Amino acid sequence: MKRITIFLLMLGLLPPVTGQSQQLTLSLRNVPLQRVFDEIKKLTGYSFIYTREQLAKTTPVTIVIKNASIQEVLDRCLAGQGLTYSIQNRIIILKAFNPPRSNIDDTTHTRTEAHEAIRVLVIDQNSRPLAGASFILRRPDHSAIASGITDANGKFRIPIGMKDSYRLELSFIGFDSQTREIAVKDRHQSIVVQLERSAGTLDIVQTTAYSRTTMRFNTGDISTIDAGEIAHSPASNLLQSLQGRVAGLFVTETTGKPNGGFTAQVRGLNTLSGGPLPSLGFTEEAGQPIFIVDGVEFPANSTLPLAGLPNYSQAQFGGNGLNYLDPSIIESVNVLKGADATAIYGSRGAFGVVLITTKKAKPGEPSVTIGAVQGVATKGTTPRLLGLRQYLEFRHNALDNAGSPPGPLDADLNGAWDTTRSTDWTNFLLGAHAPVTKGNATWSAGGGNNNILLGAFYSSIGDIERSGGAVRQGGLSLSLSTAINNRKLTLAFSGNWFSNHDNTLPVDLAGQGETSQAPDAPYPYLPDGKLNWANAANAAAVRNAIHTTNTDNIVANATITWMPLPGLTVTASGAYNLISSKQFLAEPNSFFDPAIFTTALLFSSIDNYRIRTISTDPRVQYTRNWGKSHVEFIAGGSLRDRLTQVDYINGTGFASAALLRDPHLAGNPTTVESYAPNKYIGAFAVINYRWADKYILNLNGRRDGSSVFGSGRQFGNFGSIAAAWILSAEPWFACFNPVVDFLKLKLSYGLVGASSIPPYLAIDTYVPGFSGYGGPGLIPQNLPNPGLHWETDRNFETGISLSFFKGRVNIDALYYINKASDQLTRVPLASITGFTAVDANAPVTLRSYGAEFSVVINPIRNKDFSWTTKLNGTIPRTKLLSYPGLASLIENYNYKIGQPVTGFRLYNYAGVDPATGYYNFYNAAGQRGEYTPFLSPTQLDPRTDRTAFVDGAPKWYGGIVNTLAYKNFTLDFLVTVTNRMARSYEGSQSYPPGFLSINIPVDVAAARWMKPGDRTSIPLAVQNGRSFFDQYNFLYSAGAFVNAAYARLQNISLGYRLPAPLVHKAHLAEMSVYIAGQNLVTFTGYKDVDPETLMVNRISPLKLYTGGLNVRF
Amino acid sequence: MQKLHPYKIVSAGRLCLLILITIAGCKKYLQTDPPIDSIPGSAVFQDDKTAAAALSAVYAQLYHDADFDGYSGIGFFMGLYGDELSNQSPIDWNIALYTDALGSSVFHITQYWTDYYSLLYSLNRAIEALKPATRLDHRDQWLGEALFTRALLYFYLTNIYGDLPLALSSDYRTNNTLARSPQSDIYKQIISDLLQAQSLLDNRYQDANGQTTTDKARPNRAAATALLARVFLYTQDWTNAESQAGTLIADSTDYHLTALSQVFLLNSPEIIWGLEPTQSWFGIVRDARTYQIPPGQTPAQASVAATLSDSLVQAFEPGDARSSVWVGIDTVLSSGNTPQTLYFYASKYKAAGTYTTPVEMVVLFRLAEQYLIRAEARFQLGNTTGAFADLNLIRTRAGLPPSTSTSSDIAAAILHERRVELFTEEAHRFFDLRRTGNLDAVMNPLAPLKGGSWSPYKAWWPIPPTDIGIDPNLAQTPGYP
Repeated sequence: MKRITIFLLMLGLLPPVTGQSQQLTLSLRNVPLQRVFDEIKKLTGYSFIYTREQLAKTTPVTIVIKNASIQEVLDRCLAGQGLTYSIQNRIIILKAFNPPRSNIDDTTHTRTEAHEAIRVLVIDQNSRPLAGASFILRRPDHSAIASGITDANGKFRIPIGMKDSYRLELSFIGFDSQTREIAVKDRHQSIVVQLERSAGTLDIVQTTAYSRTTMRFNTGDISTIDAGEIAHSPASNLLQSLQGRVAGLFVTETTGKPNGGFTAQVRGLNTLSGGPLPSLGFTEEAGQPIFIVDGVEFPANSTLPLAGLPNYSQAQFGGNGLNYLDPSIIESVNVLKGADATAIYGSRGAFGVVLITTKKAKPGEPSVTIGAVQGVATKGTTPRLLGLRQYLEFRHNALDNAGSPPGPLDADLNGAWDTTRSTDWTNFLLGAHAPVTKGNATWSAGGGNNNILLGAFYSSIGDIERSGGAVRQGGLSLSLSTAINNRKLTLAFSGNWFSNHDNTLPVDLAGQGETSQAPDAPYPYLPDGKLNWANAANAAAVRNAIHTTNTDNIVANATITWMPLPGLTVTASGAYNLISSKQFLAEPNSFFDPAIFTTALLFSSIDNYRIRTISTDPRVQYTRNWGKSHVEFIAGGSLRDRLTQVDYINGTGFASAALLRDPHLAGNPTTVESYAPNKYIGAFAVINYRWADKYILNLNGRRDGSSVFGSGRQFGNFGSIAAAWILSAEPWFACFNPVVDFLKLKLSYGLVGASSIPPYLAIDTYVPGFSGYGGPGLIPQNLPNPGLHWETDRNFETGISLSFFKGRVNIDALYYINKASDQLTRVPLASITGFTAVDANAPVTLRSYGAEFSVVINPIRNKDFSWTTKLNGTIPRTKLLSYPGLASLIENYNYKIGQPVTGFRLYNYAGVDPATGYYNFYNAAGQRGEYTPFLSPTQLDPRTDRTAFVDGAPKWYGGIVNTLAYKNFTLDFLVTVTNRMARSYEGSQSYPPGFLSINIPVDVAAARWMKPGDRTSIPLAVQNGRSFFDQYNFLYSAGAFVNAAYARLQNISLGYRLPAPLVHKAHLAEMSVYIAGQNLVTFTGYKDVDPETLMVNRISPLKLYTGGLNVRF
Repeated sequence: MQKLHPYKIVSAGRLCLLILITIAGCKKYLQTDPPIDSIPGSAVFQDDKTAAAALSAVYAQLYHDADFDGYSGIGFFMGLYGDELSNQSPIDWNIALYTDALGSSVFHITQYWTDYYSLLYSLNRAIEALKPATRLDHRDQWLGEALFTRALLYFYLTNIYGDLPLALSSDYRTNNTLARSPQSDIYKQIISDLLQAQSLLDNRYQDANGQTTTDKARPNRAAATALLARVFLYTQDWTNAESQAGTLIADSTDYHLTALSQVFLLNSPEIIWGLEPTQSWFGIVRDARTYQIPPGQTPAQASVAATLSDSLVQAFEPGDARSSVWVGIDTVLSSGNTPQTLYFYASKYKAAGTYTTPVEMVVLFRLAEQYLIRAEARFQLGNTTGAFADLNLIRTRAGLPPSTSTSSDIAAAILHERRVELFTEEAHRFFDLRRTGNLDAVMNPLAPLKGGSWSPYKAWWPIPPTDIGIDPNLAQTPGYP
């Protein structure tokens, strides 16, 4: 039992910065001090920290005062009570009055005094300083002699003059309290106290749009990831670090190529905005959450306008904006889901919100932190293909089955190629490993009112492909804050600049089908090192393409906060982001076969793009307590202005390769100019009401306008209502208390919108086309639809939060239903309108629903050993409820009423015919047959015979993070699991097994049909028209899909914190070393293809092994 | 009660004003600059150059889409479907056409529908925008061109599909639910558009800059008159047909008959208006490549899909110069069991190479047709002498003696003359058979010979089923499933 209780009154929402000069009028006669404090608290919203013992010895006071400052009031009523106080961040801390040693928070010690003090550093289990932790220093007789809170660097000093041993008690919200004996011998030393994060997660601060809350009082669905968790992942894109850590957030790495693409999906896909699904891919750009970095909307939810070489698909798959933001600058990530959490972002939040906050300047002693990482990336999943001997056997079998001798196209067998030598193409093209180097240094300093943080970053990621090159990125970050006018006015600025230089080839060498070419295909190099053009094509020639991309990213934010009255905060902030890039690509002489080369073939292109976003969110916030009521009111406006510009110029035919740098000098330069403005403006009001910390009601309302809609339809009204009831705060709940500490039920309903369409659809536009008749003609490009308006998303959500066994087990579970209508999509039209479709709000209704849970368990916690497990899972479902005119939607066969929009309508697969070895299918009437296109007498009709349905979206996914700490060692590992259906290796191939000179995986070849009677899923190897056409039916049949469930060891990191005495001897504050890995092991029955990207012929997510060092001075 | 302080009233007023300004400002803020890689429709028709370009694109697209010449031209299609052509192709839609077995799922049957309605959108949009665009220097020309072209497209549409949805605005919400209007209403609209076009257009040809030119690429008043004469003929308004055709015939300085070999050459004096080939298709009239068979090759060897039907070949009177100048003969010598075979092909257009400046033009209106229109109108009005005069002018040009027909069978004589004069040109023959009530009589015995069968409903073609699925008021052409 604790002998001392620390009252932490008013655990309210702490506005970011507060002032102290508030005018108080009090008239109290002969009342206990506590009553005075209660009055002050009520009038100012300030909290008090004191102990019962401190007040026990005080005498009642009488105070009648008008328009006095808090300081005056406190000075008066504490006079002669043996107490003094300090004010920190709206918290008033009472301390024993021990002159002259009381000013423990005064940072202006003289040098001598500093040496006389014992310096204490309070850190968390990750060795990160804890600011604002409370301490009390007691004499052996338990009387308190000093108390206070740690500064921003987690430090405080114990005053000089100690004669014998003392006891230091430390406590901090969210951490377990600790007591430490301090002996006289500890003088002139630094003491490091490590607090363990308490099992409870309820009081972790969460950032919503414009304010902060805690998990305890939150009514919506917010998941918070802090810098510590991000630091466990060696990934270079933040999204990778979030994989598997957030319930309801599904992140896919599109490619293992550096600077590559990512998609993020919050809950299930609940929009058709992206148009019908592509027939063979899975990536869906629509319905991705918005990303907000330091207040500015960041282009991480759409592909970037990257260029590629002609005839080669763009290897980065559009890249991702977050590639240009070093994860080590990130302080925290909050993922907002559901109407209550996202309504504050109105329309923009319809698909979820990812709030990213970078590290900021804080008060504290100067410190320098340096981190360095060195590592290596190796290939991810690649199919194991047939070796030369097996391959030749397999191909001969294919030709034998076709009954034809090797023809002119069968160069692998007809003697054209040397069948005695072979090449491991995967290794030849994709290489084995690439180096990874990262470094960062941060300097922070500041005291009281002026603070600064300066960081520098560098990273270099090699390209695993054997085309050379690397992605090198450097950056600077600066954060400043200053407070003036007695902290009534604070100004903060943060700026992050990153410059990314990428000279890796923008060609996915795995994507050219060359990894699966015949092992005996001619080696691309001759013995003298020149390119071997014997085969007319050369897989290595593309390495001679010239490529550089220089991308710059700026994120800056300036915020002014003014607190004119107690509880009233006026904030004006402006934020700016610019991602601009220049990409140069060229095909010089050496790219081409000298036998056919002419300068007319020389190609070059320059792609300049620029995505500029300006955001501002002025707002007024008022917080007040009336009795047991706590009210927070926020009103404000928001403005977002994004402009995407692309200037692309390319051309072929140069007089000489020396001119390639300027594509204007090409024989036929062509340019593409694009300009896409997207403006958004809104006003909002929020009321958070809390009564007795038991009943919570949140109301959000806002009106938003977007420039993508036509005049008169630009504005939409959105809002949400949410309520929560903390049952555990009810008196009658006490009987459950020994087991259940906390129980909250929450409920929310909201209306959000979406506007993810390109600009100018509301007006009709003409583009040049059909020349003749006196110059280029102008043709109408689209049907204007001035009636385009916001999509409607009605979101209902209910959840429960539970905490058991003193916070050792925390469970959050919720269920959501989202009904989306007025879908912005292409609505089919009769051709008599002049068009076959129009961009409109289709009366399509979609329902997405599902369940999410996250569990945090702390099974073991003691002084030396602790173990935390975090578990999260999501079961997302979507369903197309209605789609008028679906039957007329010519271009899409995949939507089906009652089924997810992420699925595919497919032919019913009847397996490989044991008699013939060819694929069989069922038609709509259930008749089995081969239905070979063009050849069979009866054919399958894509409209009527695709009766099977397979959903491509994940059925469920989740992650488990385990953190084990033993003394100075910390082990953290994350396992992600996903269950979904996906195309098998064979289900992704354009050609059937045995066709042309294409190699196939060992397991596919082994499973193929060989003789009548064989029952298998792989057809016979044969090279004929019949198998070629059959493959087409197979690709659109359910047989092409298999279960792609997998579990992956996503991250693992093992860290060691060097013992403090050793570190201090080296005049360092802190030092730790660690090794970490990413994507190390995958367990799956899904063969030959990476279960995350699900794409054959693509660089799979890489495996990453790193070692690192962190030092703090 | 507390009295409201005047300052507070002022302040409240200011607040309201501020809110109003803010709301207005928000709306203004959301206005974006116009796109840079395209031009807003509202701006296109406020400038002569861009307004002309929007219409140029329509003519270029009419040529590009090949709805008036070549393999997918209306002349070829209706020639196969009716009695002018003999199928030589194994391709299913050619066979479907030839055997008069049209299903609405045959894309080629509905191509005119989708192509023309797509262009009608452009034209409706242009007409809407040009009507009030009085600030343009050449507004009358552009508006006249647009009205003429709209009438032209509706003329062909109604002669292919019969009753039509009459889309006269660019509003897809209205158009998407249109029902078919009776053909008489379509003709009313066509006539109204053409009369307006006549009053707006100039007698001379104008180019895209509104300058007078000899190039007949853009329609002028004569084009509107020529179509009007044809429409009055089709609607049996004989008086007007006679007067409209008469106007053109009277304009002998601009238009006169020329030698048979010169008729289809670019800007020949006989041409009133046509489509000028652009370089998108080698600058040719595709009929030249569609029908011509190199000597000695079978149609299959030459990939020629149709030859002239026997009945058409036999329709030429002996000594008709048209059968030598406009008809080609391919002699395939006997081989094995196959006897020597003669293939007759249309040879009106001859330039089959690649041209930067076109040699010929896809003729839609020429003076010879106007003579035949007036002949027929005069006959119907009882002016037999006048009718024979016009008819004989055409016969004389073909090297034939004056018609020996009597006044009782002059109708048949004119129909016959139209057949041999206008063969394979823009479906004149099929439309003539139908409007003169001779279609069933010709097709009933002919269809079985072509390997199919005929029913009266086949006079009109089916429309795309997808449109019927989307537009609740749209019905399939009667007779088709």
